[in-house]
Amino acid sequence: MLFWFNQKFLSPKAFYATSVLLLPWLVGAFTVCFSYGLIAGLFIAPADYQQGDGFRIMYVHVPSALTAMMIYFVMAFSGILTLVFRLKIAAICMTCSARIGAWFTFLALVTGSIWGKPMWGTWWIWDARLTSVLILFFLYLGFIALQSVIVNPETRDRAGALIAIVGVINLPIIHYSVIWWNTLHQGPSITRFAAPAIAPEMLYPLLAMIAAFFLFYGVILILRMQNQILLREIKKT
Amino acid sequence: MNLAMGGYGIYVWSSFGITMGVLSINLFLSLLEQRRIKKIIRSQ
Repeated sequence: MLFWFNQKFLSPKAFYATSVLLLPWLVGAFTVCFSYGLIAGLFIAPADYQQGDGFRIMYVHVPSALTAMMIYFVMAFSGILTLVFRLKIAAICMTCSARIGAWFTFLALVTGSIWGKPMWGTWWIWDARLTSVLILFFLYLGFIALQSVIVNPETRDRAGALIAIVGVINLPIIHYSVIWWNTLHQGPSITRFAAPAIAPEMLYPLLAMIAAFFLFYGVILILRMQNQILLREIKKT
Repeated sequence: MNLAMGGYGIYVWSSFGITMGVLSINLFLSLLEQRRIKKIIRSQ
């Protein structure tokens, strides 16, 4: 049953065929969300009563940070599928996600630093949130470095899966760091169990940008996975 | 909308600029690699 499911839906060839159909829809959805988020975030949302227009950095900083964390979660999940079921497509997903995740973490760190300067008076401080995100960045770099030095594909996939799974412990640390420790970083404005501490006209562009960044990850992931699948086919022939 | 954004313009616009740059680089590199791979396949 599992073998049939794998061959039918999860084999690299099946994934490639599905992804070709899926890609234009993802690009379309990304364009809609990103256009609305960008215009509403920059020009329509009112200025914050404390931070003025400086708060608009939130529309790129928060989606970058959330996407960086989501990508690592996808990597860890793919790592489990790689180790337990030896799914090739999961290993490809894990490998392709790492570089995208590193870029988004870099973006979260840089935009956070730029936001920190006018609000906190400093570009950087070694507090729990910033340091744990920096660790996430190093986890991504470590994963990429490890994958680039191991020649044997199976060993490479297994080693990468182990790093991805072990490193996932950092995600709750990042999320709860602002609650567990006293930090300069503000607490979460959107939580699952309480009403958002942010006005709707500021919230909707933020949600649109978060959706846009997730969709963008989907688009780039599909493109990179297609590339990997084609490369593997070339190597076979 | 004032482009100076009450003195925060340099921070806001640079953040959005860097973001657009990173997104563009990711898209450009992925498409470039795909084009290169498909060229190899066509030549085989």
